[in-house]
Amino acid sequence: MSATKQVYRIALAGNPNCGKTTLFNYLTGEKRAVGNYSGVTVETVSGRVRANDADYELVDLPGVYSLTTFSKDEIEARDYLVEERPDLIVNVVDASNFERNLFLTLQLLELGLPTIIALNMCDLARNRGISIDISKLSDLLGVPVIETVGSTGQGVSSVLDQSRRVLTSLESTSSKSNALSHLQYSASIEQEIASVEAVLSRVASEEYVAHGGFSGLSECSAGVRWLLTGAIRSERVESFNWDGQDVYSALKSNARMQARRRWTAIKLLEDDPHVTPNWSDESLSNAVSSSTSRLVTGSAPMAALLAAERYKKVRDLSAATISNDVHRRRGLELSDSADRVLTHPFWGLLIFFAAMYLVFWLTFTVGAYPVSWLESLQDYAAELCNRLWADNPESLARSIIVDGIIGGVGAVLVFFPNIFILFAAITILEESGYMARGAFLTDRFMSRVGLTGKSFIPLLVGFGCSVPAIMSTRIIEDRKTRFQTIFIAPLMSCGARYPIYMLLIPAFFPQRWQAPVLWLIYVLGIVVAAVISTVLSKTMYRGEISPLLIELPPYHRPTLRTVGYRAFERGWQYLRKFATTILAISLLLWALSTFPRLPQDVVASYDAQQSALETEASELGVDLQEYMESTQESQEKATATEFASEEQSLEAMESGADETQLEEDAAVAERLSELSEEWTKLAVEHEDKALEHSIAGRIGHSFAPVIRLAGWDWRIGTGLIGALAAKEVFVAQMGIVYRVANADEESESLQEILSRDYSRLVCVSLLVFCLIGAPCMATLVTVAKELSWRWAFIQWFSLTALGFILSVAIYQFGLALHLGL
Amino acid sequence: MTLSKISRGQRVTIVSLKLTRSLEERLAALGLFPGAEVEVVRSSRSGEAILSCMDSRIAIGSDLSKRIEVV
Repeated sequence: MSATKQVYRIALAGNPNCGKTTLFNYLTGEKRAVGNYSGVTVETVSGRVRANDADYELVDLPGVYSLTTFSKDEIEARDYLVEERPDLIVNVVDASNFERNLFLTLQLLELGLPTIIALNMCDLARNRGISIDISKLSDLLGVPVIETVGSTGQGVSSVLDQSRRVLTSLESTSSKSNALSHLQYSASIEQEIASVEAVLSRVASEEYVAHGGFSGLSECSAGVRWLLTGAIRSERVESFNWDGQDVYSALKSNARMQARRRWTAIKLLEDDPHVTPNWSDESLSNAVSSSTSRLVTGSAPMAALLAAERYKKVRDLSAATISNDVHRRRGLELSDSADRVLTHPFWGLLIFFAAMYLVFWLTFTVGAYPVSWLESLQDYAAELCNRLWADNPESLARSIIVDGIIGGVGAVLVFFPNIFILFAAITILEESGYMARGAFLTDRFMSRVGLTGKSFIPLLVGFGCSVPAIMSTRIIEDRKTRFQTIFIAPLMSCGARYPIYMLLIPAFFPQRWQAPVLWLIYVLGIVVAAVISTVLSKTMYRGEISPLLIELPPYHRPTLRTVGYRAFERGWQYLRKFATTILAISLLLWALSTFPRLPQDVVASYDAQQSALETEASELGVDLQEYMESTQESQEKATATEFASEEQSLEAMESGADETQLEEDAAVAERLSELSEEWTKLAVEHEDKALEHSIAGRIGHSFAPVIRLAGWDWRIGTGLIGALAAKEVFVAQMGIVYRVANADEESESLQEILSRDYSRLVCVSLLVFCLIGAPCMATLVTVAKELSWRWAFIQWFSLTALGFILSVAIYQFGLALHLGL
Repeated sequence: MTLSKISRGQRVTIVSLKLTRSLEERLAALGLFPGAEVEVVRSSRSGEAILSCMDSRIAIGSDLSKRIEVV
């Protein structure tokens, strides 16, 4: 009766790009918990599914080539399998790349967990002329093998049926069964494994008894605890006889414990950095080192020896089960002949850059159309909300919705088409196998600054946005390269900084200088990034190398389905991460520039002064608000109809109207325009005071003495605070500071004001700071997720300090050399 | 001789690797370990190379190829 309550945990493990995620999605249907990008993200994803009267929790592990501890993915996948001990592993094997995949399979089997193999992409394998003898493979490995085709869902349902069968048979045969299979190494290695195992049993049971048996289990060392407990599922702990002597014999007879003991012995022989520290016993380390010295003859480490053994096994297995024909050879030959051009040091690189140009053209030029549709939608939403509060534009609720939510989140949402196109393009590059060639081609110059070719794509993405750039560094296995790439990614001038350049550059530079200045800014970012990366290589990672190691899969055509699916998945994940952060931060910044509000008496005095003006106007028979609206409208029309109106006034003069009446009208008009001017001045002063009074204004003021060194005043300071949320907010914030309604980068009035108030030198120092300093909050959060909060802050503060120092240097040198204008 | 010096089309056997443990494991997972036989499909003066090893193609950077001894 309780059998149905049981939730079986099934882990999906496999190489990158083996179709694991597609299979996972088929199995879990729409019950996915989080999106996962295979190849680019490593977030472990799980989903619940109910089948055959049982509940399963499926976990989609990151795609890995082996279970060593080389990359973040590998450590994550291994930790899950070793520490969490799922009830069953479904090992997804890409049939079209059989040998490479089997290497992982052998390591998975070594873990001693019940395993079934889903031989995936069988259709593709057949197309390439590979046919695999499934029943023979199943016999040789000792585990069930199911043929699946992830893209059509063929065979997927039998994965759960088979899992159920395996789990039930394990339960009925209990722990006595010896059903868990493993790879047999050559006799000499097996002998040493056995001798280490024997010492392990003794050491573990002795330590167990020394700590007082079961009650003292929690005090045992991590290695012993793992060896003894995890093998037995928690609900069986009570039924197990935890007597000291029994533990010793259980290590020999209990299938799960046996598997663990063997695995531990192999890892100790390999001197695994995650297993060896868990065992401190001296007799054990002596046994391990004497075993190692008996086996290792040359300079090769034990791990390589075992790897070679596994490969031998893989070759034997594939020789026994694969029948390979001409088609496959031809596919490889075609791929090779394509590579003769595509990986050519000159032509290959040229084609690669052309392809990258195409990606960017699609993303930003073609993508600009849907973006503009979304922008007008955003404007419409803001207008609609403004109309709802038409009678009370000062309302807090209006402000929070329009300025905070629509303004902040909308700014992110409108970029979705860009992101979707960019991710679709990256997926096509990845799926086709071309991405790996790109990494190879660019390695030559990336390695000069201590990076590898794998850093190229993430950094390129950085010109679009730092967030997906940092996220896509997950394709880099090497810790050092990944760290350096993340560190310099914000220096690739992202799309959000473009509006700042477009506001500042035309305001301060004549037409013919604008393009070169813009280009220089981008180049400066790259140069600073190269310098920082080189410095990091030579200091923090002194003596370490940045290795490029990448498999070049045979080219194949990506399917529309996978590309669309993955691009959407990635885009959605990006939006979700980004939108939540941005929403929170734009609300925070909104609050910073709104609170504390001005004291009531100040507000009242402004209101009184303004209403006094309104009263005077109404005595003249005019509603001041309406008058101002109409004059604003007529001013807007003025430029277009200037000529026409001049003609009209001439006509009016010629018509010979009553002169005194005209004079009186003129006096009233003059007074009215005075009144409206005064009213506007008061309104601006009011808002200015309110901003100065707010926290953002105060921060801007308190930083004023410091940022003056770079030539900035408190207004720019306040604008830069806004830029923390997202770089482009700087433009809007400057608009707020200068009371220019609906400021954007094309706002000429804002550009005029800026060029009036600041010198060109200030513009340059500001441009440099916006490029280098203060990465946006979304970047900070992403770095924190990818590395740690500590590194996120270190990066943030060091880039900000560097940007500021450069800005100050530029400004001060400029002043000294009288380059002010 | 190191792998970086091998020209295109030659078949060689890996003798030893002078790398960190985790990197050696990673190379082993791709089929590059002492005793493995590889063919150089593309080579360059600066050292990067594409290797053919058990029907798969592996690109390695110059930092690696300079540290792999072959005969």
